[in-house]
Amino acid sequence: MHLRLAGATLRRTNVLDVARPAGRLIALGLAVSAVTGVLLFAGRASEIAANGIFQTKMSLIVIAVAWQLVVQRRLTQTVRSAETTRALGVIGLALWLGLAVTACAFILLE
Amino acid sequence: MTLLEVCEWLETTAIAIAIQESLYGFAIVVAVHILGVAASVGMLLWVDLRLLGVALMQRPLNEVYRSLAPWFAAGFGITLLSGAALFTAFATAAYGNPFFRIKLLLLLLAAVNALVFHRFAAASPKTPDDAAAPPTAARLAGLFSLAIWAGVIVMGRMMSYTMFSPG
Repeated sequence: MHLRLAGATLRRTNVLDVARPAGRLIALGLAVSAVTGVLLFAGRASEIAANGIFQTKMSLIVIAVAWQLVVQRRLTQTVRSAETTRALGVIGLALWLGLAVTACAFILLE
Repeated sequence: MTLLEVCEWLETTAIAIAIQESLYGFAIVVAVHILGVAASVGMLLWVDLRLLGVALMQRPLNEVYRSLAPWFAAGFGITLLSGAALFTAFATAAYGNPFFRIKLLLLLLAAVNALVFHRFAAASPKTPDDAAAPPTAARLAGLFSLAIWAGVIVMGRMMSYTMFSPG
């Protein structure tokens, strides 16, 4: 979805035609991740909660989800410049990539 | 030279040793591998969704495929290279690991599926006529692809839990 916003792929497809299914998939993915994440966390809660990388990951999740909601609202507005759309895509990509890297760091180094 | 002997030799190569001996080296290569999966399977997912008739039905299959192909191709390249590097570091353990063997089989299936599909996608019409419900063959191809890649990922995760001894 973010690559489409940034104009990097699926250029002939309408932005909303990508954003709509993507939004649903992201919501589904987040739900599954949240449930399984809580299960993984529960086993060693206090130890994990004190971990700096984990705290970074949680902060990024909050920011990324909030950003996702901002983007979805923005996309339904009829007037939207190409630059704004591209910026939404690039920032979104950076957030999710940062989150993925942080999550990897947590799994692999802790 | 037996396969096992080749694996033993691979573990002595410079790249293998670099990964074995450095915690950060290992973590970085694994992280690249995982992100490569996101870049490859994550992009291919949209082709599969198009095949299933679940998303992007507004555009022809051919166009969706061509647009996403460079991305998932690059993703697969990164995943393959990082995977090869990881293999060299733990070749003998991987060799004996049943999950790895299943993973390899599934990867082979995925490659065959991709080749068969590439012919199919390249031949499909460019007009939006196929915006109607996709044929059964297309749906099966999409489902098959999703199932295989889900299997590969699960096998990969199972490997990480069964290949390394604690401590």
